[in-house]
Amino acid sequence: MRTPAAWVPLSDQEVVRHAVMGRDSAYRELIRRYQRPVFSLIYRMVRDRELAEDLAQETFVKVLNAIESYRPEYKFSSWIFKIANNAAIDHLRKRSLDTLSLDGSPHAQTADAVEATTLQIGDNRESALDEVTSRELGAQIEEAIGNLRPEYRSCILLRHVDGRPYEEIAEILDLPLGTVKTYIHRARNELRILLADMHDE
Amino acid sequence: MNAPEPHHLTADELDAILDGTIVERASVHVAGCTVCRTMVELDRRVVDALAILPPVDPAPGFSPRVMARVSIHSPPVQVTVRALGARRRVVVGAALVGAAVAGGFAWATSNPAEALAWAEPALQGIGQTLWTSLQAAAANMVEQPWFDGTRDLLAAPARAIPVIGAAAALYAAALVGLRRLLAEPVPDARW
Ligand SMILES: [Zn+2]
Repeated sequence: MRTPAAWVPLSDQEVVRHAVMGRDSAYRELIRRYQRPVFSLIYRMVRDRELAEDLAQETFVKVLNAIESYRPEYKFSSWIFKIANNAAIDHLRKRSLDTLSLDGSPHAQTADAVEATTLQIGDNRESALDEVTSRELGAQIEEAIGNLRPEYRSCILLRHVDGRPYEEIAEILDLPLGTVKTYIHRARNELRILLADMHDE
Repeated sequence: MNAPEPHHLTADELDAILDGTIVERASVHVAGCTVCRTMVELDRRVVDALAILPPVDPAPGFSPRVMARVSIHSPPVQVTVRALGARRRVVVGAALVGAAVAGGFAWATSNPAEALAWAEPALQGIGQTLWTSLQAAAANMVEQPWFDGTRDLLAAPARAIPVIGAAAALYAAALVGLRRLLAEPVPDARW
């Protein structure tokens, strides 16, 4: 049996191959690799620790019990994040916790948003935002993320918290690339406005 | 805004600036446009704040809790064409050897005198080999350092007696067996 350190140089695909061969230490390695990012994503989506714990567990159980159906031409991370995101979104929809977005054309360009945002963020708000320390901003941004609609939340978390490329986000969310970009820009616009509002209060 | 601004940053240009892969037109535009500059600065603050959000860990014992609900996949036994070929060769080989042994036995039973004449020198050779092997094993046991464990075993009389007894019985049985094989066949009563 491999020691935990022996798994480190192996790619996700290789670890999955060992899991498919029935090695339980490979299952544990996949959990070790993904429990933190998967839990972080779900937690920031649902903003409830206990619930996030349940949904993260569901995600891993679902993925690991279907490990033989994994297709190595896709990234393992895309697969597990897709399941995790779906679990969170389904839950949010069921509980009707969606927040209404400032919806518009799905392909609106940032120029429109620039105008809109600039109208909403006056000079005073802008300077107020400048005074905030990055730590305070972190706490406020967590709160602001919770006010985004679920699709925007997934996009912004995967892009700017996890640093995933647009293409992978499109794969995870089953959305066209253009839609992913639009969602991310809109989410950023909303975060800007929400943060400015927080400072205005 | 006094005049319409058809050349404000596009979403892709804004991304390029935030990613540090600046598009030339974009940077020139940002330098001269307060609206876009403000946008870039605010967006950068938002992006930076998102990037440093700390990861969140599940409660301790997450992995065992998951593992308790996972059934480890048992891979199907895959019989490849190659393995199938190898298995077939083993079966054919075993059948051939079996047939040869059975044929030899049948021939030996129907021609006992001839079979014994063939076997006698070989059996005498076996007897000689058995004796030489025994001597070699005994010499090894006494001289070679890697038999320390065995010598220790034989050093205590309580353990040595049954071991030596068993070896002697084995040797006697082998001798008796050889004698019987070398004995003249008893003539058939009907002859
Ligand atoms: Zn501009």
